Amino acid sequence: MYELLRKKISETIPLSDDEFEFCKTLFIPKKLRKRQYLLQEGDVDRYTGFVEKGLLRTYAVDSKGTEHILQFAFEGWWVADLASFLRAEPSMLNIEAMEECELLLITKQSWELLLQKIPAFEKFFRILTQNNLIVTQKRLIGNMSETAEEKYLNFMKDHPGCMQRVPQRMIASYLGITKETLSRIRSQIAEKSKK
Amino acid sequence: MATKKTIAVITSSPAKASAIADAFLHEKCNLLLLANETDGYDKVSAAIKKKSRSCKTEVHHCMKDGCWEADAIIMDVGREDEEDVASLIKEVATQKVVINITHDCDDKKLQQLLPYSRVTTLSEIPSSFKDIIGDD
Repeated sequence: MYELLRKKISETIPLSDDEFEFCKTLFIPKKLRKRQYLLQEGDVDRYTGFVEKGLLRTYAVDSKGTEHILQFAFEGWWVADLASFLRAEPSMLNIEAMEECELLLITKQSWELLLQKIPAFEKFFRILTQNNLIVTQKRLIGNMSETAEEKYLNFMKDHPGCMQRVPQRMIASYLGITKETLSRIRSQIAEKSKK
Repeated sequence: MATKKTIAVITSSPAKASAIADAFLHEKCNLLLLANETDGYDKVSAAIKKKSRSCKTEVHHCMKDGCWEADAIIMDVGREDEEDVASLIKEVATQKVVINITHDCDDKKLQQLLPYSRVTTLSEIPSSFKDIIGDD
């Protein structure tokens, strides 16, 4: 249940067996069924979640009722609405399981205890936040400057194996294009690869 | 919108499950009725479905999976089975609220068996579990 968490932490910071045993006592094991919510708009996000198994999506809904997908969270990824989690304010986001999921959740209180007891986690979460910032910045620049085809190709590069697990309409929503445009791009790419 | 809470209910009889489920009739939640022998529990689940629109129930024989899915766990199994149930659910009950219904209110045994869970002991079934489990 905790193998992937340990692997991911160990990629960034060294952790003794005792430290990891303590770490395990702070995480809440949680299973979600497909389409079950981890967080719904208007609620305060009480947890940061680590995905041991499954796939989730984070999305916002605009005033017209259109969904905008911000993130897909695969195995080994962390998922939360950080603003809501850190500031204890109502979330503007929804986090929904797209498959059956196994998660490890940590509350802010436990998270702070973890940082206090094992200071190396300060580095771990700093690097995690840095990486998140870099990805967000790249995505913002991409949204402003890339063509729809470039966005799609970059998405496929950054999310290998995604096509088998994520419906096209959701990929289109993530890229900020219509599903018709995505379909056209995919046809064009297929044509090019035949030549 | 509030995310629906999932509550695992482990009891030694369908009658006990029914009594606990009654406290959730007006709650928006998923109740997982867990027992090794599930005979009689389907009737409890069907009765809850008739009485409540907001509370959804399901019957499962796998306690570990049910508690893994749950946000909180309610146990009413009798002292002789406590240890067996605790060993089954220990791994998936970390940091979760576990409510133990027993006549021995000073009982600290379950907290020792589930050291990383937040065990609350009650001598009887309350009219609502909201204050203990929380409604956020």
